Amino acid sequence: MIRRWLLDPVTQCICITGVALAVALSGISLLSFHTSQDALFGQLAGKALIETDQARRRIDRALDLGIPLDGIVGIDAMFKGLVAAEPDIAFMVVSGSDDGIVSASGLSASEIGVIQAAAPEAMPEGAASGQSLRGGHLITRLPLTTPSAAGSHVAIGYDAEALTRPLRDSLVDVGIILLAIMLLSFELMLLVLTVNVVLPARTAIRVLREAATGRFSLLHGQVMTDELGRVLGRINEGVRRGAAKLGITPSATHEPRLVGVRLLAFLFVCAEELARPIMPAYFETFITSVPALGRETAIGMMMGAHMIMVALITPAASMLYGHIGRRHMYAAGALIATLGLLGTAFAQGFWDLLLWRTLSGAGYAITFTACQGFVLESTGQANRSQGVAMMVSGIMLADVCGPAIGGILAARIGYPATFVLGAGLALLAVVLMPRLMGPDTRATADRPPRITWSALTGTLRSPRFVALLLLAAIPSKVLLTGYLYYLVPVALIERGANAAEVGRALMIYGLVALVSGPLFARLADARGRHGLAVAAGGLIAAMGILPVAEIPVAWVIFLGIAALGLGQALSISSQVSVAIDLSAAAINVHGTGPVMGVMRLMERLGGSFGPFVAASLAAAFGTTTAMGLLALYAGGSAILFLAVSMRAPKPQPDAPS
Amino acid sequence: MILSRRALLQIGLGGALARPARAQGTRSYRILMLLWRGETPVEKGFRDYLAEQGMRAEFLIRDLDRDLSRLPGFIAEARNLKPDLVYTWGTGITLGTVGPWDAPDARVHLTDVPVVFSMVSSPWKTGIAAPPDRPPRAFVTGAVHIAPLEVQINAIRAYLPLRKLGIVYNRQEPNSVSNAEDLRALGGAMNFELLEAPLPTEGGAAPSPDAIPGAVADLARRGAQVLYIGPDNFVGAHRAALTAAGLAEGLPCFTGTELEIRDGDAMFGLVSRYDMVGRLAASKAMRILAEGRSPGEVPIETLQRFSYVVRLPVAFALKLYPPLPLLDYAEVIR
Repeated sequence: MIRRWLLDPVTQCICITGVALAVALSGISLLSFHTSQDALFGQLAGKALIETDQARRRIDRALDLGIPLDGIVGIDAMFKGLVAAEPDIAFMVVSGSDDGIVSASGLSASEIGVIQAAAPEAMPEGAASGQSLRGGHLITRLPLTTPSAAGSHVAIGYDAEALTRPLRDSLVDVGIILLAIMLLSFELMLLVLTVNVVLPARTAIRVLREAATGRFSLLHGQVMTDELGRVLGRINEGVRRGAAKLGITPSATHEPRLVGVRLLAFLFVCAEELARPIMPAYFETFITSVPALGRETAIGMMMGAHMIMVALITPAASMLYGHIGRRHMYAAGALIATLGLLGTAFAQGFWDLLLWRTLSGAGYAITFTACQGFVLESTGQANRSQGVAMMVSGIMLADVCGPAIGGILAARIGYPATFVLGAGLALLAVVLMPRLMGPDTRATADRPPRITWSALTGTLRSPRFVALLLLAAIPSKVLLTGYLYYLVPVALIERGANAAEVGRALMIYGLVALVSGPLFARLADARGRHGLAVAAGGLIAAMGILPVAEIPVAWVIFLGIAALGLGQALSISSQVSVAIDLSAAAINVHGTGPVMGVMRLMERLGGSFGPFVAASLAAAFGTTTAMGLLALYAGGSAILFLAVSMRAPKPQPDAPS
Repeated sequence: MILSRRALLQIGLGGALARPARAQGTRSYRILMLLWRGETPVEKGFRDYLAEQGMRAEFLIRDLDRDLSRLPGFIAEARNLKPDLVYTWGTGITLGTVGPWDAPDARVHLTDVPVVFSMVSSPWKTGIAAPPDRPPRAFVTGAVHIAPLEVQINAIRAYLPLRKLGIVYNRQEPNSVSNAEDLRALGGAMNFELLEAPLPTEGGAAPSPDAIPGAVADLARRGAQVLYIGPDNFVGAHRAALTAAGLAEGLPCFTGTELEIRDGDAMFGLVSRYDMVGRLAASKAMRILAEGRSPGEVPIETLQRFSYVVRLPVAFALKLYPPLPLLDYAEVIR
């Protein structure tokens, strides 16, 4: 399997390009690092001098009032104030005339002693007298000027990491943009190659096979002006001559351009995902306009409005699909999403923001249904899963690129402008739609699944299906919406992260799921242990998230995000198989589509409460404890689901469950 | 620093003081001032403000000299003098002049002359003003001089940790009793215990200042960390005895009124400057006299900004040095 993956030309192409770009980027980074470090050092040294001088003045004022040096109260409080404004300040120390430490803040006296005793390192230009680089810290040491404290000093140490952090952050941003552009470039390259080479070649094979059997009934229908076009023209001439001899008129044929769905799915998901890292912080600014609702309810409503609309509008859009057709539906959905995102950017208060989020959700659901219909209409049983995979890969790509690029943009252009860019992407989808989505076929079969009342009640009558919903599908969605979409951005911003860093963190989820998803899907199919995979996925996510309640630091949060990506990739693909197994009776009556529709509807409805639950828990127990509690809920659900699925007899394909 | 604090106070008052139009014309107003202990910086601020606004006023000063029994005589005189406005100082004089909001007695109280009070700490609690949910009294308005109690407790905690707050007060003064009740109620919400030492009053007689050292010693024995001086005329008059007892017991005094720290040995306080309180009261008198407003239309207000004052010699004597962050904004008396 791995060998085949390695020999795949697309994989090789991505690897070679990736390595080449990484080498080039590293070279440029090294060069720019040394150039920028000097400039940054000058700035940092200047800042450190000002801060230390201000601290010295404040201590001198206390001394001037007659307070003895060892009697000064509140040096720690002053230090905390300094760190709040300058997080790179690591310590402050006041030493007496005998160099003995009178007060140490930030680090212990012995730790500071070790740093100050370290050998001085070479410093770039820009340092003032009294400044030195020792033990990984830029130390600024100034004498106190009050005569009663002659020989005493105050020193402030900046973490030297401050010198490299801005540069490192910029380089990571560049790397993220590079990765996103690379993925998008391959996306476009794939589109161009498929439309101009692969699809005409496939059609040519069909036409030639037909001719080889002597039927001459098919002509190549794709008009092309290049070399390939001329070859196809000659094939068509040969077919026409053969058909003339038989006295028949051949009809033109071409392959459906299903590959376009990948870009279409990417565009409408990315439009929403761009603003994902900033949503909690942006929505928080609207809470004050509705004091009566309470903070948690208000946040829950703003975050949940989009999700609840996706849950409710998707079945409604499926019912209208046959009347409207995919092209009109996609255009209408993307336009509604454009309006919703633009409105979100310029919202004036809570209630109109809620309306705009509702519109965004409706637009998302409508475009999603149109893409789903496109896949179903353009594929048969043989290549349907390939078509679905194509749409899913577009969505996954948006999950990876959207938050990361959106975070970088939001940190530079602000929150509202990021929503405007999302609206721009949705509008671009409308413009590109005619090229990417073929003409409406108005076929009667193979439409997006419609949920009927009887399918809903029939499906929900199966206790084990309900167990799957309550113990696996809904907890997965609650983790996604409550933990990833709400708590992660809030917790990281609490720890001083900016929007770009939040975006990078959210990207981890998409990347892990993108890489591990296909692998887990194949594994679960090969072993056939879907129930176990669902429970294991839930447990992996829960175990990964749980430690943050005890170790509330950023890297543990990142670990939790990766575990969630891994767990969801393992669980979600198998949830479909388990659902099909558990609802065999309902599927026999209503078909697979409606039954799956019921599952999606219920899990999305459940998931839409995730942000409300998360916000309430965070308000009561703090953000990281809330993460731990959500993990306990998901882990407990997974264990219960495992118990239920192990007790159940293995269902027979035709037996009612 | 002191200058900038003063500038802040000016800004804080700016809205209230800038509103009245400058008095025009030649009319002179008669203002009767009923005072507790002669003229103070409050009255100076009152007079200065009216003068700056161009108002001509004749001030008729009546000093009770700390004796409330003189008040009925001055009220009777007021009925004959028919002043344009009566100015009252403190809760006792004000309540005696205007009566309770829900039962004023026209035979005893002034009920048809505009009254502007100053130096009243809690006009609603003591019944001088109608409760906030009722229509305001037609002839009474004025200036409140102390910061809200929550703000005062936070001010104490900016200096030192507080779990037990001691208070010595005169049970005969309604504003002192009301203040102690409010502090007791606040203790639960702000996590401190109020230790009370009301001064003994036998047979309705005024308490004796000799009882103060014993009350303070009792509070110290019960674990008080800070002595609170509220708006209490008796304690104000014997502030030296209180702060000296505090020093002897190693207890710092915090005050909500200016007198105890400017002219006493309280260690720290969050106070309104007396002249600014007088100016705020004068701005209300201006609106009544120059603009022809009814006192009921002019709201009772407190100053929006206060001075944090530290008396350094007392802090040194107690070895309780002011914390560095406090020195950024406190006014230090050396």
